[in-house]
Amino acid sequence: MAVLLRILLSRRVAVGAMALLGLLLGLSSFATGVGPERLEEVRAKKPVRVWVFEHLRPEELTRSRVFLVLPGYIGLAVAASIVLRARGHWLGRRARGPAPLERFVTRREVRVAMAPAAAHARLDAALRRHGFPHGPGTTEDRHGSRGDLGFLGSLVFHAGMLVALVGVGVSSLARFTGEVLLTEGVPLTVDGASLLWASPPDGLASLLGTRLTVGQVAAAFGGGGSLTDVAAVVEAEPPGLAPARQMVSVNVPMTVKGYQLTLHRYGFAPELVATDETGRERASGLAVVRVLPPGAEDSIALDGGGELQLSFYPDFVERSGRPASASLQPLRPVVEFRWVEGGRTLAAGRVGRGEQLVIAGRTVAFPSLRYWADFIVARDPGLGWVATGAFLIIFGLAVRFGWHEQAWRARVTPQGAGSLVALALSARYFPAFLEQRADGLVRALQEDP
Amino acid sequence: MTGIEGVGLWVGVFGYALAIVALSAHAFFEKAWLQKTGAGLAGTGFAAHSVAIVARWIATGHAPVMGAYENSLLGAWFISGIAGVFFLKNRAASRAAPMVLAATVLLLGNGIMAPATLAPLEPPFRSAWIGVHVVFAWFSFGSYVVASGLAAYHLLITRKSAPDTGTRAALVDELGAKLIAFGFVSHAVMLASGAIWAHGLWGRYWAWDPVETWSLVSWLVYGVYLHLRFTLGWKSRRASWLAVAAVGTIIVTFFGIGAVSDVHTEML
Repeated sequence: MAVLLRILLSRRVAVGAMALLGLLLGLSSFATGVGPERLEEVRAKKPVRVWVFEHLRPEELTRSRVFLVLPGYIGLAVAASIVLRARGHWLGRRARGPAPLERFVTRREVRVAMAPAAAHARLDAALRRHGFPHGPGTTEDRHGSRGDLGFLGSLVFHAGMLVALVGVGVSSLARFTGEVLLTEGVPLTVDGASLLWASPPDGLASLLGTRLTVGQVAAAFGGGGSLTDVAAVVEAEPPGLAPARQMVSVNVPMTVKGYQLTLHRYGFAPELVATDETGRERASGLAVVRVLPPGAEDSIALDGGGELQLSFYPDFVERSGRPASASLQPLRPVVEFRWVEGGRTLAAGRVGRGEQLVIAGRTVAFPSLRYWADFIVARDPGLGWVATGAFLIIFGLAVRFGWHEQAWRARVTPQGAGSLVALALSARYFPAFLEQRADGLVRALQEDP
Repeated sequence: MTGIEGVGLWVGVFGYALAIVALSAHAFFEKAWLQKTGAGLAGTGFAAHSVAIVARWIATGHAPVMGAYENSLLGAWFISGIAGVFFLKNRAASRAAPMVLAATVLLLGNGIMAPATLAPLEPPFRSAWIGVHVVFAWFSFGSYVVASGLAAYHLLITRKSAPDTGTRAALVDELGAKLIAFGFVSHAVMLASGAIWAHGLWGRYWAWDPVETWSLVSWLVYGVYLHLRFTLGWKSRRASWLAVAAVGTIIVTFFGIGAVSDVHTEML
């Protein structure tokens, strides 16, 4: 028990744990770029390497119990350190008299050709000018200190670390994330199956039954056709509550019953009607196609078997006889399709917006174009903890380094026709700067008025 | 790249390069005019560098925060700016200027090799948090780089064969620690503002992408440095070696693994 306590309170071990944490995380980042396909390729030949990569990925590593011991230990060490230091500090404050000198002490003796009263006045002015806080004292002695603020800053910083660690823990236990795809103008009622994925799958709780509709999707483009923003109007109707309507865009999410809806991706949803050679409608509705890269393949199922394979070009042009898109703006939208049944392509062609194409007896019509928008749905009860922790960390650090502990004492005694000023200056950090300031103080005492 | 921007950039690069020559010569020959010339050249380089940044800002309509070229342009400006302010206030450390200016020129060289296409701000960057995140990122980067330059200079003047530089060496050592402390606070602001921005952008405050991971790693490394220095009493050459080594994590964060992956700002 005593050994465990010693380890817990050892600053060396805590610093070592921080270094080990950094080392492991640094190594883990190199495993991020290796995809699952690549790992499968080399699994048979290099099983050990694959095992290391699979367990070293940051997402995996930071969930492993072995790894969690490190932040857990650091958290406990920080908590223990806060308690012990706070106790020591406030017990020390009860003692009367001058504050104890800090870690680095420098002493000076200066003879000045003036009476003690005049020497005191000059000493007070010099101390003020050189940043030594003015304290109480008798006519003979002066002393002062500062550093309560710096000490508090250190406590606040370490407490902030603990709060942030609690937040990370709350996030990992109670966070919900999912993804929902909404087609423009088509309402969707949130239930267990309406999300593309959800983690944990039963984490939707209060959002269940909410009707979501997206409209007025718009993409903005700047010079050179670069995408500059995407915006949409989202209407949310939670059961039993008034509907909420908000414009969302990249970086401007919407919150519905504690869940944040973040615009994540967008794309095109061409309305397509596919009729076969007998006149039977085999597909009718909005197809969800990707916006990037133009021409990326998607497909929709045909009623009765087969599929319509699609490539979408928002701003269709032909380059060297091959289809391409001049921009991402839907200026000349064209759908390229292949009608595939039983593994055979029965018809293929291109159809523009507002057109229909009959080929090999099959008709594909493209009457209109809409957008789809994809949203990340998230609820994270740990966020507030992490944000509070971060604020405390920053505030505590700034105060810690801005007002670190200093203490000083001075005694003025008559000596011959003049006075002798004896100085003891101390600071917790930066001894060379302390020496420099002490030299400045001596010069100020010696200079002619 | 616009014409004024190009002129500003190259005048800046040559100003800094010539300042390195003059200030290095001053270290050997101890001639005051060499120091004045070096300071003047560095100041001219900085002014021209600033003109390049303003010209690009006007041409693109946004602060230079996207891509390797703009990041190098702004990152190098922060290094030389922080160094300038710092060396003017602390003359004892100004002899480390050639090392810091060399880092500035190297970083600008890295930028010059990258495409300098003028492009509007991409959607992920359109956030109120960008100002806080980027400014404090560069404050921390600049402070750490200048601190590593001071540490390298400290190692140089405290080697066995060097003449005794007692007080100056100790001041340089402590100035480096002060800069690292400032960088550490800025780094914390950068991490916190980035996390809040990420939550609005992606619906999560942390995703372990390589840049996030390495910015946390480098913060931990500098946290270790500060604890070793202020709690366990590391100082002088031992602390300087650590400061020089630690800047490697910052280079990896800003221009290493982070630069080869655009996951950090991926969107749509």
